[in-house]
Amino acid sequence: MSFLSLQGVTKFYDQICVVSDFNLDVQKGEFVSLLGPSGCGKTTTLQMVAGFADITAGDIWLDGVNITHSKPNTRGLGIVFQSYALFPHMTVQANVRFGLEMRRMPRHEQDKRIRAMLDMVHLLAFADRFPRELSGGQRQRVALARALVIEPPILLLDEPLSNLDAKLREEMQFELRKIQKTLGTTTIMVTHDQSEAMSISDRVVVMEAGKITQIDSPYALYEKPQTAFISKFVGKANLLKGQAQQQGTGWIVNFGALCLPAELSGIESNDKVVLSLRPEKISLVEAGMGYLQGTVTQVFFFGDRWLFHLDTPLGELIVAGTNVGVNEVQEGKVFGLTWQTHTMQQLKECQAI
Amino acid sequence: MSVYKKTSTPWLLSAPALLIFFMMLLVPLGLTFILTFNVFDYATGIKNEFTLEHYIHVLSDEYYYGIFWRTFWISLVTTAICILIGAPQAYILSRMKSPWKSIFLLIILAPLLVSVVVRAFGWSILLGPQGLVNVMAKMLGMGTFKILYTETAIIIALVHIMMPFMVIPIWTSLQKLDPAVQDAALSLSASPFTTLRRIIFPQVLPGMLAGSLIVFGLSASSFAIPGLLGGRRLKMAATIVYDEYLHELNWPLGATIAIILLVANLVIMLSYNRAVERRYRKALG
Amino acid sequence: MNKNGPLSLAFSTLVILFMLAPLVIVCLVAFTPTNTLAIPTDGVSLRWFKAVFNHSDLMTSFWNSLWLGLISASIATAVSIPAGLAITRYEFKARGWLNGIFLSPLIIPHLVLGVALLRMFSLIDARGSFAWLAMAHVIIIIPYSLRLVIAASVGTDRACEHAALSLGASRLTVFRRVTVPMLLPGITGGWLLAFISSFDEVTMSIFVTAPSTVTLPVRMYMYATESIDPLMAAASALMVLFTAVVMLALDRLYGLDKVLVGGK
Repeated sequence: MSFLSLQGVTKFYDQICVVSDFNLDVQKGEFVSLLGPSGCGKTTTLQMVAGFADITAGDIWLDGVNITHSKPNTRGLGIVFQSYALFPHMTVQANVRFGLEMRRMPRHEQDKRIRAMLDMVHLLAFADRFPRELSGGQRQRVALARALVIEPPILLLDEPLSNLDAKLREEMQFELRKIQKTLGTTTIMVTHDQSEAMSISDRVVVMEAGKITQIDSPYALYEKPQTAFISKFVGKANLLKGQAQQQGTGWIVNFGALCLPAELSGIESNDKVVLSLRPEKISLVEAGMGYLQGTVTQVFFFGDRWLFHLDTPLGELIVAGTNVGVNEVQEGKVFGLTWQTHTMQQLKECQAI
Repeated sequence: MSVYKKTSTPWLLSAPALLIFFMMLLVPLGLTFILTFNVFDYATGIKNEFTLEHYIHVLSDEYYYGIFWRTFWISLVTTAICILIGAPQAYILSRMKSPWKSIFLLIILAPLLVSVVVRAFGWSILLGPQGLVNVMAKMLGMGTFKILYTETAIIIALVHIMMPFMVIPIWTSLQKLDPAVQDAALSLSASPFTTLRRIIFPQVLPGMLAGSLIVFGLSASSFAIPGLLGGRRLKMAATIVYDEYLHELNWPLGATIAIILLVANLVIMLSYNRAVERRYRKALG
Repeated sequence: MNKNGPLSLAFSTLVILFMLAPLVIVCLVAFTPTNTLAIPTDGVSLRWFKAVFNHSDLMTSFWNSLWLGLISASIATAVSIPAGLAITRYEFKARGWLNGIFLSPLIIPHLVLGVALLRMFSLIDARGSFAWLAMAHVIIIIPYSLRLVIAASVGTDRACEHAALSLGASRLTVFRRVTVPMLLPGITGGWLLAFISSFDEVTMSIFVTAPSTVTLPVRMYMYATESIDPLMAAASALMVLFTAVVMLALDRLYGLDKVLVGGK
């Protein structure tokens, strides 16, 4: 029996369907991310779990209780809002205390919990400061402390790191995961940043236009994206179009410029297929070797890795290479491209994006 | 986003204010409108018969025409002077450095919070025969001027009262300007004057028009200023309303003038406003 | 931003002098020892200030204005808080209309309103009533307190209320402990602005006050039209002082520039 269960959750705003038939089972202690571009319905789904948006159809079960129509102040969930929503007229301590006051906890018990929580987010020295005296990262940690001090069954995070700069964001990602693992709180995070979702989640739910398109562990999601959209949204991808032909018990795909074996399913002979190939799966070899030849048109340097654009008979292909020190790949040079055929991932849709 | 789903809540919240609005604004105005049609008899007072004679009287009598005309052109001149002084002043303010900017702005706007009576009285001292203006004129050998109890005195005092009302909307427009837009124009080789004329001025125009409407409307219905600076003989629209109400006791006639003033005010505000809005909403969004 | 040239600065200085002139002259003349409206050149005297405090009519009207301001500002603000919340927190079709209605007293000339209320008061025999006078002031000053409440409400992060709800607070608790404290600067600023607007008001009050409820500005107006002596100057100087104190309070609690330019 899962801890949090969303069954057939649907939301209409007037005639427009914003979330359609959302089904998700979350286990206790799991960290799940809702990932997708803006407008995909991920924030609305979170608001329905929190109780700030009405559910048009479907149910939400929390630990065996149907909370679908419960008021937001009875659900007892911990929420970190995108703007942090700290009470500006209260100190850090008073902010964190608020939820405990609502639960009529005895004062000394409140103090104990507050101290422990502020210590955990490294803000004990700031207890008597006001939100306007804190930096963005500090405010975020206060918001987190306020949500967790009430020991909620579920922690909801609405784009918690989007207001932080890149370096701080990275630090906070790991900090967040560490705290979550320490406390064991079941967590749902909404984000549009795929690297954020991938790096700290147990599972990622990809949403597009109100629907779930894939639920998987980060690794599975990356290695085996189901659609062209997902393959390009989560990481980079080369999309290779061809025609499938049966060969014995296996398949060969005719890309025009060359034919390669591939692992395919659910198709018939002569069907058109689109395969996704990740840049880091391609290796550059001596010209004349490999599956096909390519001329380097652009070279980008990212510090720990390189990104090469090559002009090939299959169109423009992107190849990634780790920075091992010396780089011989320069514009204008010709190289051979090769990869392991099983790394080509079949995509559900047949149209290229 | 609101958590509250019932659509009756905002109406319940607004109810007290709406009630006050109804009781203290709509009802009195309605009653006064009806009053304009009541017959008035100098012997017996307001009678329960109805007539259009007050409107006809006001709109055709030379006496009232003269006063309306005076009210109109005084308001117009006041508005023009406020624009000529207020707009450049607001622009200069927007380019001032930090402590001075706020100080100057405050000094220009703070008189709003002082009662009209005090300010008008101050001007009556300054513009009187022994007032500072005449003292300085005497020192410069220009002789004395009769300023007090002339239209000039009224206009000077009106400009003083109305200046903040002109500066505020223009200032607001200037604040909304993206300074980068000016830099863009300069980078494209426009002269500072051309930038002012073709980039800044069009964006400030809505503010100037809003200010003009407010100033004109307030000037036309001004009472204390003509009362204290115009004396018994220089009457404006508000003065004759007072006369009819408190001296002649001809309330219906006074009400008629007041209603005409109100309608003129509303018509100018609303129709001009709509024309401006329509034109500028397209351009500026 | 380019610098202002000397011409611009000279212009600004003249404008400043123009705006301050009547206030300064009134304060100077108030100290004159003579019977005429002249700037004190031979020494200052407080006799006219003493005369003001001894003038029973002026003092009575001062207390009238003070009480009137306190009461009408409080009513106006009390009514503006729910109205302001209704306009800013809810999405409903008539929202724009409602906003326009509440701000409409601003475009009705005080003269017209005075005349209209006089008519109504005479019909319901309310002419000497302090309560009705207060309500007359309320309708005039509601736009001022409402504007600031609305500005404050728009400037607050609505998510704070959601956060309080999620932490288990009832709606009343949210209002009491989160909404109102966050709106407090706007509420107090609105109250002060409404108060001073009521205190200063003269045009409408001339029509609507009765001999027993005469307010200070009306009393001063009547005095100024009948006689011109430094008593009026002293009274005016005191009013300027009073206004300055209110402005100081307004600045401390809300920010004078925000109030004057339009609650941003």
